[in-house]
Amino acid sequence: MKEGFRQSMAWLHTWSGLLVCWILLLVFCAGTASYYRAEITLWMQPELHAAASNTVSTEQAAATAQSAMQERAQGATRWFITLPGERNPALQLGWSKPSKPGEKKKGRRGNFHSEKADPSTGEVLSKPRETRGGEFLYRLHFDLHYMSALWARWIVGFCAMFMLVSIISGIVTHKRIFKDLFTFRPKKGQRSWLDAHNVAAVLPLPYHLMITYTGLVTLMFMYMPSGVTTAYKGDQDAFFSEAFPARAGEAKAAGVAAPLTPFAPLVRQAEQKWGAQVGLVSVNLPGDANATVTLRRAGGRDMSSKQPTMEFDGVSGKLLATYGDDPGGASSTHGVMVGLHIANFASPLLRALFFLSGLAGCAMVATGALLWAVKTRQKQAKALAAGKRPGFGLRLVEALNIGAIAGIPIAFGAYFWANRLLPAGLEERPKEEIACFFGAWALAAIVAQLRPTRAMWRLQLTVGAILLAGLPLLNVFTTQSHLGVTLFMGRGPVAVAAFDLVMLMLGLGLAYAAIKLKPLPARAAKAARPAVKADVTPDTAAGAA
Amino acid sequence: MEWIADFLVFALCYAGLSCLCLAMDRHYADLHGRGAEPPLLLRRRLQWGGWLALAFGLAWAMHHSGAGYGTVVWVGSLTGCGLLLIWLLPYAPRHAMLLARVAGVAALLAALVLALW
Repeated sequence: MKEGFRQSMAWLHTWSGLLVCWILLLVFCAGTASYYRAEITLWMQPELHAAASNTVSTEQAAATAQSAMQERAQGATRWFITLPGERNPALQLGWSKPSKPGEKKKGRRGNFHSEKADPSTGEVLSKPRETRGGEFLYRLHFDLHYMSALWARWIVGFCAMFMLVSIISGIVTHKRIFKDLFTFRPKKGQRSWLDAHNVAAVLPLPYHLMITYTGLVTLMFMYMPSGVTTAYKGDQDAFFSEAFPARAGEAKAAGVAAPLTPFAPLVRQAEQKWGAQVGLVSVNLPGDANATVTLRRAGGRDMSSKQPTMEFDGVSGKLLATYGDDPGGASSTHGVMVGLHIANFASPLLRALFFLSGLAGCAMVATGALLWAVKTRQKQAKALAAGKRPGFGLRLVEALNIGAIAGIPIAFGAYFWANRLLPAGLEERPKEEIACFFGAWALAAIVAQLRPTRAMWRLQLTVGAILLAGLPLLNVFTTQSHLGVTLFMGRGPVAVAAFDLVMLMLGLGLAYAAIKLKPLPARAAKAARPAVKADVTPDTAAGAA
Repeated sequence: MEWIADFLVFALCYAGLSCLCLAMDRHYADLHGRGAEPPLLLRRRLQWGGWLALAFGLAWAMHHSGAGYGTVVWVGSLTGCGLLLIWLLPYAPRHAMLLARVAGVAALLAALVLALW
């Protein structure tokens, strides 16, 4: 090592971070939004807002679901019933039918039908507009889009590994981690950017380490299959059926019809045993003599992502087996790690803290990317002052920064605007919404490449601010559940009001950043640019989510 | 009652972090003018008080909602309060410290309410 240990770590930190920061920013933004995946989906289906506030017991909901399914899911071999919980007020009914002989297979979910129903009456909720809602953002953060999920997961895993390297080398590089713990000095150019980067990285450091590491853990069977391959002699399926049991039995149909046992007593029995609500009811071969009913516990406050299940005989209602009551050490470790990543266990308050830490993660990535540009511009200051053009690398990074940091909020905004403005009955509506997301982003990124200037920052931040902060206003014209109703009249779901308010705040953050970037007086413009650019507060980056 | 329990963790975290912050030369000087240093006794008290508040916060969170869940809540509160404090410090240092006192008193009151309940 020619230089000291710390210098080489600083080098590693800079380049491992810069190389992947734009994809990481997308992953962080989409991942942070995914904490509110159910709420975002609810917001994006205003037709369901009116029904979102009624509550019934899980027992009653299970009974309602059963009679609704018996009526509507004739001939299905599997039923999936998601009971209402604190974050999903509707019943989710799904069933799959066997494909007829000779019929072409329609893909994995080809014969799967799914609908939302009222938990007290069992009636199908007025058909909401089609949208992928928060699910798209959730998938985006590890499957990306317009490419095979397998490739995407390798790319995201690669970026996450770089992120982990970057975090650890960053800790080594940061000499005054405790002394500067509370230090933020605004309006000091590069210094302020470094402070902001440190604050966004150090305070939520436990979160950053956790989320990066557990993110890799969620896909570890794909990234590091050798352990499983060796132990199970290449039989991956054997491992999965052992590690994740209770994927409702693969029993053969008896071919003899038999009535299905009522669900309500089974739900009561399970809830008494677990002391927690049932989340999912799945039925194999309903109506057959060999039917089984499997109940899975709802997430609750338990940190593990693995929930115990109980399997019942579908005709007599006798308990056949229980799974996951006392998982082994490795299995519960894995469960807790995945659980921590997806945070389904979090109460509303803790969820908000996760969201805040996620925003800090976005800010960390964004300020890191900006810091590289600010530093490099400083290095080239003399040449720039002499009227030379910035080097290729600097120009590229600055343009990518605009396209990512200012462009991603535009993409999110376009997605939500498209949800409200595209006609409800549009063919392949979800696809069109997603096209709006990527169309807007591509436009922002390309324009940024053409003119990566201060004016471009202002323009794109302003557009992002208008799109996000304009959402509550757009709601007034397009829905019956805008802030005037949800906030001032106290009707309608809290989640919808909160979504509007958070968007308003993020939009205002972007607007603040745009205002801070006031145009420079023409003469001083060139020399002073790096310093004044640094006047943007970290709000810019936080707003990027 | 649930929200008082959560609030207590928050208040203790904010009060504790503020104490630790004020015990540092730079931040003491932010408040009391350039070059001012906290007297030794005060610094000791702030440090002890700060760590104790954080430790009580963790203990309470773990007692109230279980070791695992409580730790996550505490770490999250620590992050949230830390970000709030750092954001307030350069723009309104006096308000930041006033808020710390309010948080300290509120934490005592909340603990009292929870103990008597």
